[in-house]
Amino acid sequence: MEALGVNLPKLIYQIINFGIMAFVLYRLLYKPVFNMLQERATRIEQSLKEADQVKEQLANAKRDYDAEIAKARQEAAAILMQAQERVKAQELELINQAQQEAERIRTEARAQTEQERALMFRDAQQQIAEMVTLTAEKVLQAELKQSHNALIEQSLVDLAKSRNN
Amino acid sequence: MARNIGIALALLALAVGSRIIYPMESLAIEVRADDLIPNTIFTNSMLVSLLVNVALITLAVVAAGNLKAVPSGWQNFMEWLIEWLYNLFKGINAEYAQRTFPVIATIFFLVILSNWFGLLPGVGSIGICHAAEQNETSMSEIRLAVSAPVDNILPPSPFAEGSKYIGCQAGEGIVPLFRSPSADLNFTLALALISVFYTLYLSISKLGAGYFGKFFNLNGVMSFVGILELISLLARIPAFTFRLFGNIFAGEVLLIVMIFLVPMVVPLPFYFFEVFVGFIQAFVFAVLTMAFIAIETQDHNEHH
Repeated sequence: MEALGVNLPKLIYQIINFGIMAFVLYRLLYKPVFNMLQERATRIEQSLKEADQVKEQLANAKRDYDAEIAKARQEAAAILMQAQERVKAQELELINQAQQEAERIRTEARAQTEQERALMFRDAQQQIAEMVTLTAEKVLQAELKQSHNALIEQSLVDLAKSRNN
Repeated sequence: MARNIGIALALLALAVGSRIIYPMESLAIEVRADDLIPNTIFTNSMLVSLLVNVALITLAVVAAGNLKAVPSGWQNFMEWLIEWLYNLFKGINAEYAQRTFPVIATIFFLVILSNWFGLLPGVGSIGICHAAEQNETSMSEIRLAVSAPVDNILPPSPFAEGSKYIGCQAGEGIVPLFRSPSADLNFTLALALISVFYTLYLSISKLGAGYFGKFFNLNGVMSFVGILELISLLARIPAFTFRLFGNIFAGEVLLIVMIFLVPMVVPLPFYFFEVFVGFIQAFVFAVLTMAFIAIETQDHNEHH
């Protein structure tokens, strides 16, 4: 081996050199690079997880939003329905009031008419009585003649005329 | 089409012409790493090994000195490389991938950079002039020598009279300043020992003394299997050592031979090939270590 240049001190030098280089490269290269690769892998994993979380939160928000919107729509519909019912009830009430009012007015009108009629009737009776009295006076004045029937008729015609007037 | 043929012919002419302009007299490449400083153990491959360390640490600091959550540039590249290596190891041995990553990834990075460093221009060709070369008569030496260019074709020669190397005197050789650590057996043997003993350490720490039951078994034919297992374990040391050394050293020899035969154009595809080999050897070293850890840490008794 000596002829090929192998020599114990040189061999030991190379072994020590290797040991030093392995240590130096471990400290300067392998360890930091592996740490960085590990750190990056962790960071990417975390980012992906966060992205998933954000996606999930977004989906949740969307679901909540949709639920809120649906609820609001339901409420709006309920409110509308209530309003419609109330309006209908008010309408009915108004109609009822109007009908009652109309009925009252009609009743009053009827009562007034009746009153006026009674008044007129009394008036007519009074006039007839006056007419009869007048006729009787005339008959009595012109003595009772056979033509008193004609006089009575004449009185009635007069009475009718006065009533028409 | 005619243009492509023209380019091919021009390259061929350059290749042939370069052979005439730069004729080479002899080849020389040494199996051993040369000592740069006399009477010390500091070799040219150790120098490159230090440069590789500096390059790796610089790369680590540039890429991972200021890590950002959104990566870019070198950080992006190193993250990709480390993740790719980690997934590769995990595919082979999910149980030990994380724990053994620093050791095996360091093997990968040191080997690949050492392999590629050997391909840089200047490695093996820039050196220190050395006069005592002739005294060494080793069969393991083949030296590359560049002769002086043919006169009258190129401007005044930078070579001294009778010298084979620019800047050196006649008769002097060079000791290359740089040499790929992977082409030095000390480096490959060190890695092989680390790989095998690390595997042993993990196996023993998981299986305890029971691990050795695999090798020492008195149960009939299993005793023979145990011996084979022991041999296969020990054989991994030379296998790792010479696989890496052989491939990288052979690559250097191949490139030198190609440059010797045809100095220009032709060696280029071989350079690309050697870049590929450099990667594959680093890959094989790391993957085999991981695979042996997976095999050795399995409980032997589970199979019976």
